[in-house]
Amino acid sequence: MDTFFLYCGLYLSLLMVLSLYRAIFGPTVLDRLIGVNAIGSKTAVLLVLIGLIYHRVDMFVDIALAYAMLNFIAVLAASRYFQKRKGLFGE
Amino acid sequence: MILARPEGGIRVSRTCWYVVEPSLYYWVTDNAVQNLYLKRYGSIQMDIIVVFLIICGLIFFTGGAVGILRFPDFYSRLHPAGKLDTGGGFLIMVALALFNLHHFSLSTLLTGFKIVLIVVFVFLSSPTAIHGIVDAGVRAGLGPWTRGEKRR
Repeated sequence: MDTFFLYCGLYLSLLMVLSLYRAIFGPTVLDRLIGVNAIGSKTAVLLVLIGLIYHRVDMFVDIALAYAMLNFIAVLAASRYFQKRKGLFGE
Repeated sequence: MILARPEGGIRVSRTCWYVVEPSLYYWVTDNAVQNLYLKRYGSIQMDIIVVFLIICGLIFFTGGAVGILRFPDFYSRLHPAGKLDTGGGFLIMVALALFNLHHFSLSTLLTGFKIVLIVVFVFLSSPTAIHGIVDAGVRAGLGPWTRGEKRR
């Protein structure tokens, strides 16, 4: 079961790298925000998986909760910041 | 035949050993060690349910990641990012909360409840964050994609 969790974590990291492509090459700024939000959602799941691999679930569940909250606040704050700028796309 | 840890590890907690040379895993056929494995991991029916749920969640995540790459417009890329990530995260977290309940005690029940709490928070917050992004795009004046245009 440990090996299965390890391979699931590796596959999830590979999906994160795929999402990073949009965060780097997105034509607009908000495309990059989508990529970062997707990476943050996957990280919260990956943290609980790592907690089960290391047999210390309690600590990693707390960290995952904090990171999910941080991800939400960061995306909201960044989108509100970019709302007030002109020339948002086509750069 | 199962995989077992060698002796000589330093016990860190109830279920965690620190082993100095981690490459010394070996296969054993001893019944006593097999019972140790079963007592640690529990029954095999819950293992099957957990594996099935995790694979379904990974399918959702794959759809989300591929969808972010392949859709032609900014607005249409938000659909897989918001929906599929939340749904896949829900399935995987439920599977992990179930896996944690192998040794049924109050502490594992509370940990499972905390994992479900993460899921509830993500259900509330992820669509709100996506709506914030859409709002920023609309106010900036970004128009939607129509069929026949170049891919943005």
